[in-house]
Amino acid sequence: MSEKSYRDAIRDAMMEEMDRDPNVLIMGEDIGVYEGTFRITAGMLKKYGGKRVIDTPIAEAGMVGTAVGMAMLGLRPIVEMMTMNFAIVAADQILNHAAKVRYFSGGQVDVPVVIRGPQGAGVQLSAQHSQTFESFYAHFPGIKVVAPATPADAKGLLKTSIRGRDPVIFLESAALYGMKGEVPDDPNFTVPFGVSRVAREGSDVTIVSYSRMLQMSLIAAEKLSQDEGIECEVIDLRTLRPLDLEPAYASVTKTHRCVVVQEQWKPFGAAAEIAASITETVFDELDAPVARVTGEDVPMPYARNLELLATPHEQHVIAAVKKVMYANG
Amino acid sequence: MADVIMPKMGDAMTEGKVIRWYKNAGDAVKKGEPLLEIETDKVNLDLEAEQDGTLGDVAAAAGQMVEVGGVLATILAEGEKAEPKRVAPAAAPAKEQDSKSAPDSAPSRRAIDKKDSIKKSTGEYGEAIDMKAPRIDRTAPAANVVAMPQAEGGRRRSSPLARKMARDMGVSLEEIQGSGPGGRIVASDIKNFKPAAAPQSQKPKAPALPPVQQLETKDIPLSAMRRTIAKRLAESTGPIPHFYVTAEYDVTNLLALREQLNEIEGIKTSVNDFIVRAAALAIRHHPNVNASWGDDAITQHGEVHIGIAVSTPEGLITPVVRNADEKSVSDIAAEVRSLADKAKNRKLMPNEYQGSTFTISNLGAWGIEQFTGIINPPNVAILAIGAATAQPVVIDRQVVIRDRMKVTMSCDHRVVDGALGAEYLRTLRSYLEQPLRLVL
Amino acid sequence: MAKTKEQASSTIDPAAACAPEWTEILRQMILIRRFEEATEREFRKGKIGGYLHVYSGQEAVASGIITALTKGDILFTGYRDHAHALALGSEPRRVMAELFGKSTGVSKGKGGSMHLFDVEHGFYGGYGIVGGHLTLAAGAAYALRYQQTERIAVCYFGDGAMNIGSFHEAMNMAGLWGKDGMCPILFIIENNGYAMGTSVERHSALTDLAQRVRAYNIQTEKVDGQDVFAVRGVADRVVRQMRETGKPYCIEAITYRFSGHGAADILQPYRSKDEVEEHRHRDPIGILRNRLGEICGLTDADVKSIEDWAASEVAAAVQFAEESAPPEAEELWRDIVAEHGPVRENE
Repeated sequence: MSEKSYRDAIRDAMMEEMDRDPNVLIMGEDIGVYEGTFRITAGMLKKYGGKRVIDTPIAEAGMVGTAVGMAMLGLRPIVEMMTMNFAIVAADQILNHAAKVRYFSGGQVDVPVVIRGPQGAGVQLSAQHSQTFESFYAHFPGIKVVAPATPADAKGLLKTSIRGRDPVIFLESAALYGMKGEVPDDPNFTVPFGVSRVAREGSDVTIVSYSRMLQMSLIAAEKLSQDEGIECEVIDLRTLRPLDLEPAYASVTKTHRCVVVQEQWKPFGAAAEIAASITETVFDELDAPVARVTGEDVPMPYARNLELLATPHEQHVIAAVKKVMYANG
Repeated sequence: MADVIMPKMGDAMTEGKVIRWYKNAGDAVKKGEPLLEIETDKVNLDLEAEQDGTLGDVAAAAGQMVEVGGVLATILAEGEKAEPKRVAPAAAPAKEQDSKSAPDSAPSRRAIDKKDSIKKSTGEYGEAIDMKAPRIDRTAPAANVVAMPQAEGGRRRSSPLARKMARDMGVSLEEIQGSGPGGRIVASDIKNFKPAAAPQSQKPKAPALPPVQQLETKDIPLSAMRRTIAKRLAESTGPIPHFYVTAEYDVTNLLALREQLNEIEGIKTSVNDFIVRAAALAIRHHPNVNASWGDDAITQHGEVHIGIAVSTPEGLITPVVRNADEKSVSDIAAEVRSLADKAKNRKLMPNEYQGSTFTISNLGAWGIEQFTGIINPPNVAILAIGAATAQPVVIDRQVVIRDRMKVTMSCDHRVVDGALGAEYLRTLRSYLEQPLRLVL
Repeated sequence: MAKTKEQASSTIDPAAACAPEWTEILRQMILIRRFEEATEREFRKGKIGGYLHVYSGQEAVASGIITALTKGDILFTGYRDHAHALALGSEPRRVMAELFGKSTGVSKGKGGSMHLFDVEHGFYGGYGIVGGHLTLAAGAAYALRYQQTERIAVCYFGDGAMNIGSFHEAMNMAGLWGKDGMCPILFIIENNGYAMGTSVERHSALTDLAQRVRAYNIQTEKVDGQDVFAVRGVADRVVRQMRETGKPYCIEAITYRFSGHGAADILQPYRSKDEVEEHRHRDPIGILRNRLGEICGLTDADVKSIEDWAASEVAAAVQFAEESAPPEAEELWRDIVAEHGPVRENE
């Protein structure tokens, strides 16, 4: 174990896999000479050369499409999106091609491509650069959607993504890049997809979340414990597709109350899917409707105060927990 | 000979309409010559002959809707003869259509029936489902749930958990004040609820049933305590330590129901058939009475097979009604009659008298009011059913005559404790005293 | 139709022209034509669902290029893809079964007409989003070079695909990577004059389509797409060159489709019957057949035996497709992803 930042954990995962497998390569805008806008790829061009660390034109469809073609021929390309907001430009390549070609070919090709990059709000980037996309991608069969909340998971899940045989949308929280945590050094350390974890044990309310909102939920849980004596059990989903809700069901069976927390807009979001599944599966265990904490249903504004109003915070989680506890406050 | 068919002209086209024929049967036609005009959902167009020859049968008259691929006519090559008439698979019921009617006689036009096309689509879907897709139904069936007695006086708001707890505790939601939003009854309301000290002189509520449990075959490892209980009890009373619990039931309603049922032609039931079903259903709530003792484990049985004691000239035998909890009273009646006949004629096959998981012995027909049965190993319980007798009973401070019946349960104490025996008889009461539950 | 004056024309060396291979190419083109006619018939009968785009009239473009390839080369195309599969060697009966939606189809009945796929024969797919597959093909070409092979990728697309963003992104990246010898991709513009119903003149600001590709530093050439001698001649030279250089190349084949855009394109209001008739005089099968007759003494009887063979192949394919079972219901859930979570370490 060593203490690493989320950013370094991602770089370590990619470099370890590039050392391990010559078929792994990375491409993206300004990832080579410029070393990446978030400096995730610092040092990689120098180490691996231009054929494996490819600076692409500003052309997301071209970048993803060529990566899908490479993957179909046996390479394992990683595509870095400068931000995931730009990946929308490549939606046809991701949703109509990467996600479908295995199926309509009757299983004749693997598509081991990883599309990764930062997302999320918080630094006044306004409407086009502050979005989160897990609900959007997780809607489609044929791709996997990963949203790690810790440095260790960022590393272990990215390695699983690179080693797999399917297209993966790997969503990094820009706000977590500097977060530090213990990360295993073993080059064979991986974290499997579809295995949620209990991030904090508790008996009163279940909180289900992932990525940055998971960290925020943990802070809210500590406050609730100290100030109110309410013990929250916090579930980290890690991957949204495949989605493992078993620990959430078990937890709700114990606590009988549930709050789901996501950063993005409420309508048709991941929280809606999770809440519906919980209601379908452990209906009789619920003592209150499943509550959702989400961002406001507006494009992200620029002004600092408005941006703060548009995003979820600890106090929203705390209020939702009290609401499902039928506690006033 | 070549068929002229209704062509599919677009990806969504399923049928087309014949507008008019340019040629009549017997006319010579040349390749490329227009034969008829058709109308599709998008266009009107002429169909041309695909070969030289003579127009044979015209199977679809003007105005008729024809499915894609349906034969409109045939073209006979030189020297060919027409085959017996074939009828186009018309979208309309073509049988009544007079295929000889003149092409322009405008036969009754049939509007495309929406319901038909829906039926058709479910028909295809039905076929696909018939292929038994393993995951077509992806919602797991809910665990067996006993219907809640409907609260009177409108719907009370309550959380799912509160309802479940009320069911388990036999508490009626009607008596509870909800503390949640809009008066929603929540778990804490049930937990804090204290029943009124003296039951009011209301009609007694139908007692709530304990929850039905999932039946499955499983071994429950013997705990140290269970081993000690078994050993001690066996030492004191022989290989199977028996104990007995007795209850008296009001079966007035049951006897009335049986009479009503027997009025239906073809149904002949005895009181015992109702008891068999009641006993089997009650087992679902208390799987541990449907069990066997072993040296290392108690085996709970995943199915309910009721042995019925039948006396024969040679002695007692217990033919078995298998899965009695899944059978209707009338099915049980028919089966018991057939088994009893076979027993008396010594024609029972081993599989018809082995494998019971629970036994019922009924001496009511002999006028016996109460007796105790000896457990039929490896069962752990037997019900001894007495005769129903009319007795004066006090209800609402009035003396009324009711039919009463005594049931004694013999239990293997190694497996069944006194409380369980009592609970089982209480559950049995719910079924016997509200006999509609037996025919639901 | 676009001018053809600058197109390469075939110079005929009788010895080469009469090599047995040309009879094989004629057989292949006739098979493709009869196959496509059968697909139209079966569509009209309701046996084939969805969209159906047939290739009749363009056979020389598929056969002229694909017969110049060797095993290991790979091919991507759009949704007018039956001919490419057949020319690459996919079994006609498995292609027909795919169109019928049967389990024996090349894509197990899950792709249909637009998504034929036969990796064993180098066929990496028919794709249904106009222009979308160009980027895939460029990436695949990069992979072939990355893996240090001399294989090449071929990517077919129509004139209508040249106005969408992915065309430009793919061309630019291919031209860029080609500078390092890392993108041996042969782009084939099947210029049949129409993007669905919109003519080249009405959809492209610049009607010299090859010139638009040259803007991306890619060498181009125009060829008469009805003359298989010409197409094959260019292909032989270009393919050899690309294996050495690892650079992209683009051939614009001027061709014409005799059928509608799709099976539902009945009225064809965008072109006259006369125009279609005129082009039928330049039927690629007729051109090849006449030339083999004039120079190599191919007789009517020879042609008839090829026709009979093609008819029986196609009839057998239809019968096979008809008699094959539809996919199992379980197939619904297969091939969505390779690995369902939780994913276990398997290395």
